[in-house]
Amino acid sequence: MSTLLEVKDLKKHFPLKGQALFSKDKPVLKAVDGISFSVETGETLGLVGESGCGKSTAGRSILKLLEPTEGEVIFKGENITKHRGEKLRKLRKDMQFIFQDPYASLNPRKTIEQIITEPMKIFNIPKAERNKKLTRLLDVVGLSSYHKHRYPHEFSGGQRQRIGIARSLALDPDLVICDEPVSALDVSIQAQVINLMEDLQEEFNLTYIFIAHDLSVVHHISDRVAVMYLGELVEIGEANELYQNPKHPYTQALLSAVPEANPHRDKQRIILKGDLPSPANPPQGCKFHTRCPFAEEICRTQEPKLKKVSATGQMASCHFAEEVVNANEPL
Amino acid sequence: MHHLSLQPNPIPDPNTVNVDQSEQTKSRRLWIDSAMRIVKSKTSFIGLCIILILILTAIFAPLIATHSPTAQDIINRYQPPSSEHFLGTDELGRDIFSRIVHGSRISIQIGVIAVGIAMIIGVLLGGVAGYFGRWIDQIIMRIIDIMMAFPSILLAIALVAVLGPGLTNAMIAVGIVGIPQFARIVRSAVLSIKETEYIEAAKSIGAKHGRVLMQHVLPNCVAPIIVQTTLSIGTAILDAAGLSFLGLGAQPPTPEWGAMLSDGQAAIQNAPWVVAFPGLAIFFVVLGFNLLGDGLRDALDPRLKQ
Repeated sequence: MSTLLEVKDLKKHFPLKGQALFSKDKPVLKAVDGISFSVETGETLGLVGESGCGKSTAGRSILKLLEPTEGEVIFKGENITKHRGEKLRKLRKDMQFIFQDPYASLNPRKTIEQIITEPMKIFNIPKAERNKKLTRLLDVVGLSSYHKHRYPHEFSGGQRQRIGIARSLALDPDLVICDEPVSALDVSIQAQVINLMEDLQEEFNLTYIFIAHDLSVVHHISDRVAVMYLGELVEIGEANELYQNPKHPYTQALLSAVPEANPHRDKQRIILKGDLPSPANPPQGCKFHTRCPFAEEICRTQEPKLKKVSATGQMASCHFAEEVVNANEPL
Repeated sequence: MHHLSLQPNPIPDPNTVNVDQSEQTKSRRLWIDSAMRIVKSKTSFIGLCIILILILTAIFAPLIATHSPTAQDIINRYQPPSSEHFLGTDELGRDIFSRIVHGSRISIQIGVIAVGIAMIIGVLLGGVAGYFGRWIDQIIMRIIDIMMAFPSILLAIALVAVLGPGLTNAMIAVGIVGIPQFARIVRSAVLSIKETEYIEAAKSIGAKHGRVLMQHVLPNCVAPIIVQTTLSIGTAILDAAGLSFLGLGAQPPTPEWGAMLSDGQAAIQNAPWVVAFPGLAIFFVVLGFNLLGDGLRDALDPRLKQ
């Protein structure tokens, strides 16, 4: 496997209003504050975290739907961070986005045919080929060709999401960033769409970055999982290993919240105290220290670095990553 | 890859079983619903009827008119309404009924052309301002603000004074005066639409700004544009009549309603029909467009859908 995408110290800060008249530094909201990871061709990287931790912003910044404040995005060996205009447009062909809300992501005034063929029109693919591709795409996402003259409002949520998926596949992308593609759908439909995405991954050799807050869905689809907290990566590793043996206290707390099908299994639920701090004014030192059950003096002053914690490449950013390994065992 | 156990594969929805015939009709329901709501609402239906009568009158004007609109008959000037002259005659003995009937063509022409100018320029300016924002928005909207600072008729008079009097120039002036309304309405619609996910989706598939604006943003602003267009036609006819009344619009002997008012004002004491009937014609047409515009506003608002 080769590396398809590399993200180096990516930052996205949003300027806030209310700057004091003579103060020099503008207040900013650090939605994404220096994340680094890489994605191999053909794998699925799950990106999890609670609401507002910067998952979607990270996804959008990688695709350059938002302009990153700092850092580098290297796609297929090419640094695309500085790409603008025409160069960036060409790149869209290879990187696609699947949106969270299937009700908002389809233009209500366009037919399904127009929606799915538009990317091909933009890249000047001849009409005959477009039509062939349309039929094929409708087929792979489980829609019929007579659907193509209909408008989005005539479809259910699951069907709409499949239309969105068909649109994102129209240009044969290499990388697809899925921003909570199933969170707006019913559970039964979620499974349908997830399975479809897995099939498509195999068929078209796709690489996914799968953003979600549903940990079981992420576990199911991902090869590797990255956990975000307040705009930073706190842990990243191979999915099974990370789920079985989380090193970062935040990951442990997250995983302890996943509902268990077995009511007899004794499970220690780690309840985090306090609220998520504001990303406009994040805590000093380790950003998690305000809610961490293991926090000590060093956590309040020194920011931990993401470091290797196992032989297989699992990484966590915690001063006590080695010591808190067994914290999810009953105390 | 392993599958979740719920369902083996995406299955086409069962409610899509019945095929072809329904597909077109279903897609148009949105518009049919709106049309039904207009017909159902009494006031907008009256407006629609008035406008239909106006359009039919304009089309069949030569057949409906009993006299030539410009034929003078000085001996029979200031005749009161009679069976020969339904609405009487004016100071040159011209048949007022025939002049009003032929004037409907001019009114429609004014309405369509003036509002067309206002709409095309206004929608483009408002769309560009709202879509690109920042300094482009600032420049365009400040110019619009300046235009709005003038009373519309005063601005129209100033424009005609520059362009020279005449019906065509009056239409252009009235059109320009209508631009700010369109620009503001479209800008505000664009501001909300450009934040939607389907616009982001359009950008993510590599669409250029022009395409995003013309294909995705503006088509979703049609409802407010249609409403504004209908309401503007009434105002445009009124403004053009005002210009003609002041002698800046249609020139004699054109049977323009505003010009007819102006011509007849000297005789208002002795022959009130000379001004009353053209005035009523303007009143009903403007009323018709306003009623329909209000009705459209309600009909095209999906939030009111039951």
